[in-house]
Amino acid sequence: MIADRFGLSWRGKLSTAILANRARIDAIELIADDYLDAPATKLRHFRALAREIPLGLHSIHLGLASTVPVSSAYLDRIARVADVIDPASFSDHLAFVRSGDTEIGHMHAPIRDEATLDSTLVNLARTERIIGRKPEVENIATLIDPPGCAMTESEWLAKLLGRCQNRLLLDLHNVHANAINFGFNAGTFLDALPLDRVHTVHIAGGKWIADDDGNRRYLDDHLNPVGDPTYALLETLAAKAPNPLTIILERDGRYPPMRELLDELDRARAAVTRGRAQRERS
Amino acid sequence: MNPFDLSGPEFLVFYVVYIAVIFIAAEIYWRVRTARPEAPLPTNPYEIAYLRGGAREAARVAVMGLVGRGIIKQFEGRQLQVAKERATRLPDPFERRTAEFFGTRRLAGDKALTAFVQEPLRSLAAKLESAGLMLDGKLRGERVLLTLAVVAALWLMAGIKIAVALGRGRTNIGFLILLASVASIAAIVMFYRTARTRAGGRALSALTNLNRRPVGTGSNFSEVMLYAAIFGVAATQLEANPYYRKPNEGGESGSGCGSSSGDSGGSSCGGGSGCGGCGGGGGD
Repeated sequence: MIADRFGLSWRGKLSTAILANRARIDAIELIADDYLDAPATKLRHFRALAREIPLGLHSIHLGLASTVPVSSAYLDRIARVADVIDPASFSDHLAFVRSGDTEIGHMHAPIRDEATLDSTLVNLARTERIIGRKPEVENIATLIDPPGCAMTESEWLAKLLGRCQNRLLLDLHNVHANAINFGFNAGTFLDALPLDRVHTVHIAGGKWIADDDGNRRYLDDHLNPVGDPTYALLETLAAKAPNPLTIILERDGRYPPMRELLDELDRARAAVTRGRAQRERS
Repeated sequence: MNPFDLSGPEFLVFYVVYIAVIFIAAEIYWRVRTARPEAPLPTNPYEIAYLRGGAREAARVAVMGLVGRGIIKQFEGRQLQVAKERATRLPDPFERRTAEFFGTRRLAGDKALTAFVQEPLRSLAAKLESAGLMLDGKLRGERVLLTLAVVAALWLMAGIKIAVALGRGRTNIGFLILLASVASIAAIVMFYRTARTRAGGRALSALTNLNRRPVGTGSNFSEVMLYAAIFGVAATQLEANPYYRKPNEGGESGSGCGSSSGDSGGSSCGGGSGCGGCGGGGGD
């Protein structure tokens, strides 16, 4: 029996609800970037929390997948947070967030070629050296397929993971969103990845948007309930992934009552249970 | 320099510094002694309420919870009475005992209720003690010895000076006796102000800081209970809370609107009481 965990991303507005429903929440994820300037006292409170419930520290601003080196100053600040909280894991996205000294302000998909791959490996090594933890790397959602790519996303991810020992934080909603927007099969995408490197999974919701020309795209907005396709992907993953999984439901706003989020976690539990049953049968 | 040769005013200045040194040393010792870096963070509302305010606060949270779940019913004039058929099935002995208190219709009097629920609270207190969050018997004994040691150190210094002064025919010892007396009382207050350990204080501080958003209509009752346990029942501002009074209602424990605002706002609304209303936005 594989002991999978199901949790939520920690948000201030959900804090009391998370603690009050601790019996149904196995893990939490904290955004490190929100606490870079937090006093040590505040961070120690999260350390106390991390002793009670597995806490993953998640960053959004390192810019790991880039030919631009990760900022040492920023890594130092993240390291301070990680040192005090002592999280169960640390992760960031395979994205680029700055060009030279210019901060873009959000995450962009990298150009998937050998040069970016090499520099990403350098960034991962630097991050591990400064933070003292090997970061889990997360696949991102994008509305723009970067020009000049030499590989598909799954090929690039598989190649990267083949050249390092970092774990893959698999965001299934990002897979789903990219599959819709760029017309590939999400199940085939999963098959191309080393699923034995997956220990943490993100699920979330999104919505359809349209540009001025009426072209529809699917946006990973973290503001809506998790959809059926994502649960189906979770079931598929659970049937194939050998390691215990920590599934984190990401919700960044328009918070519903906690019972609805707990219901979503229950649906995730059910999907994983079905997937694990398939795995045992095979 | 022999401090006992100092003049009266000079010795008083020296004695104030001596008091400060004794207090700081004793406080540091006590903090180290009662620190427990790996102490747990309680999430049971009754344990948190007990940690925060002892038996009285735990009992208040229990009453609020039982009223909220309809096990205790509220009547005219905020009198309370248990719905017996449900009370006997309560699995938690503390809740069951609290419900028994309202076997006949009565007000939620704090002192009588607190005395009534002492027995089941002992196991709750024992749990907090074994977790290192509250002083156990051994630490309470050490606290007595430490307080006695501080008071003895204060009076030893003062006593020698008084004896020296009297031996030299001086009688201006009133201020010194007053200072030693005040410092002794302060020492007792300092070490007896709380039954929490340093680890317990830190756990409570962590819970307070991690839960700054007000609860409201969108919250389930377990969230309201947790919030009441951390901030006090008055902070919940809910009709289910018999300790909450609307602003024009008065009453011994009614303080009008609770002071439960968060550090950066929230999106919750009050539960229909006079102080209800929606918090602001923002978030981290």
